[in-house]
Amino acid sequence: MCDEMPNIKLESSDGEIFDVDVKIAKCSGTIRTMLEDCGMEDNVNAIVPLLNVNSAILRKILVWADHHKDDPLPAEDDENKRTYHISLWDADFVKVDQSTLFDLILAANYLDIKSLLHVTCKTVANMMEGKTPEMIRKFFNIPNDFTPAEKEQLGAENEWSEEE
Amino acid sequence: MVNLKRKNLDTKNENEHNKRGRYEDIIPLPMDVEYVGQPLPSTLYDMPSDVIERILDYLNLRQHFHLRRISKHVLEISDQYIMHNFLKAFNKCTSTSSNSYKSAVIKTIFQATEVYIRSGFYSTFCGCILPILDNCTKDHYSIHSSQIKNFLLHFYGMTDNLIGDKNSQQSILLYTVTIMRFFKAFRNSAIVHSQTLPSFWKLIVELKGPWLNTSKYSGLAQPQHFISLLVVLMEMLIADIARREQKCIWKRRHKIYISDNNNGGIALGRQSLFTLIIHGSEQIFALLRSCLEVDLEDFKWPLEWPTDQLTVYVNI
Repeated sequence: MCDEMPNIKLESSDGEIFDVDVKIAKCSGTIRTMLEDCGMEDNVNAIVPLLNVNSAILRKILVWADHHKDDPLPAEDDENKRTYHISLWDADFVKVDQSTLFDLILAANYLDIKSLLHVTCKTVANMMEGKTPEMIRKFFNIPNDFTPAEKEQLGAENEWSEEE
Repeated sequence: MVNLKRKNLDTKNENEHNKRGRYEDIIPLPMDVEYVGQPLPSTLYDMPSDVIERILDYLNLRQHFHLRRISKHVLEISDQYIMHNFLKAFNKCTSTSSNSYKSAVIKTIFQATEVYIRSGFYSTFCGCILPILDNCTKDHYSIHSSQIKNFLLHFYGMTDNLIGDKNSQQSILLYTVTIMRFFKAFRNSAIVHSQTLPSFWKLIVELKGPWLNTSKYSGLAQPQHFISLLVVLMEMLIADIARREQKCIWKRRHKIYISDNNNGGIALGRQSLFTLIIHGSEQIFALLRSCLEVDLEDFKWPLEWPTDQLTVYVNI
């Protein structure tokens, strides 16, 4: 069935053109809307510009989309995100350096690929889980911009429950 | 927490290496590398707020104890997340099972803190409420009134510290507006006497049903007395909303407060009278009057709080 689908061209922010099966491209809500609203679906020469996604990230996303092309569309907004499970394949897919992981999140957000956004955001959340603020800052290279007074105030917020 | 992380990835054949947690394989950003002539790598710090919010959505509320101490940007997002969850719980309580104990607790906490939240103590509230909110999201709800009491005492203490002087006009105004709105929140409250003179406003507020007395005659003018009164009113309001019968004795600062919420109290003609003598400006009188005369939901919050001198005496 996949072979019967026409291809479309996606252009990354650095100008690389990717010839992609429409079914795979339609994993992205943004591309799906572009194709349907602009009537580009049957135009084999149409090029969809993706100004916020570079070729390296787009290549990775297409690998992900190819693997998930037969998946059902995810629910709009799942209330129980904390119980969301990551498949083994997805877990391997997101074994990348932090910069790539955050670029994938930004791209998934821009392209409106909910399942990929789930996987990548959940991955970052898992990295934070069980870590102290100091460990999280160190792990993600985040500067501590609190003054000593602000830090003290934040520390005092929950004292009432610790006293019990 | 570690178990939860691994649970998402658990496989029967997981080897020892993987047992450390798969996500540990992701390489942290180097701290001191310069990126010349190429775009800087994306970091968590650069993510837009909506993306960070999405990430935090996958963590439980308890994790926010740590998250809000990472950076100011994450703190702002954490505040929004906590407030969103609190308001969600509040709206759920007002739409369903509005007389349950849990509903009464959330409504009363909102009543006791809303004036402060609207006066700029939003973040302090979010930080202090976390343990209670975390408990609210559990299937088995187990908040004892002493915990709510401790929360309120701590929250008011923190706001007074932030204001800098608990005898300041701002501090007294916030307490007074909160007390007035508390009176209004009871099922049967009314102004039974009101007398305005150029220098002061005297009014008597009656609560029908709940009964409150103190161990000795008390002209409450000090902030610590306002705090005590608010904490007692908090317990009485929870009982009033939840239609619970409750007798409480509370010793604080050499004074004993005795309260009795009895559902048959109205039929018995039981009442509590609060006499307030307020020295202040016309603007302050108008603000306080509207607290009692206008429905809680219709109350027009001042764009700027009056800064005129204010003294309040409360007699129970």
